Amino acid sequence: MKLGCVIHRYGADVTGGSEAHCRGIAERLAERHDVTVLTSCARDYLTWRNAYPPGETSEGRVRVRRFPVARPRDLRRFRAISLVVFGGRASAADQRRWFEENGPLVPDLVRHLSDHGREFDRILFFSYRYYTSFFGLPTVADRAILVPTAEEDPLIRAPILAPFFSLPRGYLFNTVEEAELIADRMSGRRPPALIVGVGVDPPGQAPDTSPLAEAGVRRPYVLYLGRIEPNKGCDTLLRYFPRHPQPSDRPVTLVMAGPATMPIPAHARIQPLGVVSSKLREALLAHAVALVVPSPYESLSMVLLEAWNHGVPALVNGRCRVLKGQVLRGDGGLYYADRREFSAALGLLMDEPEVARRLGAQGRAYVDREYRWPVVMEKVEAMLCQ
Amino acid sequence: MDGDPERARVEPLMDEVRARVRDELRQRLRERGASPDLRDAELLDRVASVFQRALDRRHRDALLLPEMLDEDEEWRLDEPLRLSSHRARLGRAVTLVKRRLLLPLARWLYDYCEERFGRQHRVNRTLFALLEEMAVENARLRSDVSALRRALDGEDAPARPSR
Repeated sequence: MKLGCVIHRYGADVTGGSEAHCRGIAERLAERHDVTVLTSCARDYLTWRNAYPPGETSEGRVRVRRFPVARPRDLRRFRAISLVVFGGRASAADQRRWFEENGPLVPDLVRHLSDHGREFDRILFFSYRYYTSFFGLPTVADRAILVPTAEEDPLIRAPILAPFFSLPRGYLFNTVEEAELIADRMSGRRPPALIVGVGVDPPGQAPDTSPLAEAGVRRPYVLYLGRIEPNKGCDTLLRYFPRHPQPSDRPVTLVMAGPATMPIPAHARIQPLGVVSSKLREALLAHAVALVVPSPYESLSMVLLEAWNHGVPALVNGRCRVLKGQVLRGDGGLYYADRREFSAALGLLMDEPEVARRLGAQGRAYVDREYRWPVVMEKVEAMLCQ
Repeated sequence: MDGDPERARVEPLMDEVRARVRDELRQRLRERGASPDLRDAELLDRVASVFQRALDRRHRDALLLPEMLDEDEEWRLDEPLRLSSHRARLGRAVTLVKRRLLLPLARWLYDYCEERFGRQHRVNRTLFALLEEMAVENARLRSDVSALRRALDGEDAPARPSR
């Protein structure tokens, strides 16, 4: 089959959940099909400034065609239109403008889809919230498979999305909660859908603790891994953790690894590491007491699957339906609704290591059942043939 | 696998977590001299569950009370800053001056207020949700009481006075 994958940014040095999701699927599809990724020249997700040269390159078996961003994102204008749209009083024009301001603004990509989209048998669109999907998908709706990576954030309730969600030929969802969320928002036909998720490779040999010692990581620790920003729930985590009553004999440290876009308060038991090497990342994951996922908005959480892959239990924000659903389905951790539950759940994981070990092992078994690449790709192929 | 006696189940563990939290909450309320009614553990749990349902409401944009208020302006805290002028001929120039000169100067104040307006707006929404939760519960109880009365009237009609 001749397949297209449309994504807002793409590259080996691009981090981000939906981008990694697209890359993983595109590379595996390219083993059997002719795959072209259509994307922007941006690398930075805040400004969308052009960083890659426009035009066609090959990355392994995948052909990548990049289109220039017409103008970078103006964060003030984006914020202003967000207030209007999320205030619940926006016109259809305001809502369309939100998608333009969110970007990346790549009109040439949309034109290319309009002119050449029919040359593809199927086109997978990753993440509905970007200009690329919102304006690109309607031009090739009859062959479009949407991988929405939708979260329960205020955007999902924008009225303009109700007809949009009925357009694609089919859907690949990350979780049953995401499927329900989108189904609830559709105003027309319900396209066929499969719940697929992201593939995870089995972990190699368990890394030793030497990278932790080199980085001065204080054990035992709970781990936050990812971008440190309020949208990811880090403001709440940084309020909750310092108020957790620490036992004097075995205090626990919160280790935060990832780029920070918000201040991290100085605290004896909070250890920010910044961006870490892949070696240290693996060691951090393998030796944590638990992974904390405080995000209120997730469509899957790849880092949760990675922690389970290492047999590490999770402590997740129970107000995020996806995270709570994943933890319940996998029996792989605990969840919390507020600071007191956070503290009590963390206390339980610390006080009862055998329970924590079992939860982690169950999480790993869940990943083995649902998230290995052969399982994932079999479902993707089934959707392409529908 | 489901029958595995060794399996650690999340929900029973969460019951344990919630029990720990409730015990601490009761203790704290007792220490601070809260209403004697709330010393009754069962009653406290029921009250807390009503509050929790309101807090768990995900879509606080779909609530009855705000819909019944006449105008959004009566209760909504306006976050977007709109610049305008009442002058017919000089209006555009005045707005431009406001936007280019006054707005940057006042930006820090606007950012400061915007965050607090947002927070107050969320509190208002939570209170609306709580009121709705209690009103729904009250309406259901009334309906149950009426149904019970009708049932009793049916059984004991001759013996009961009319209301």
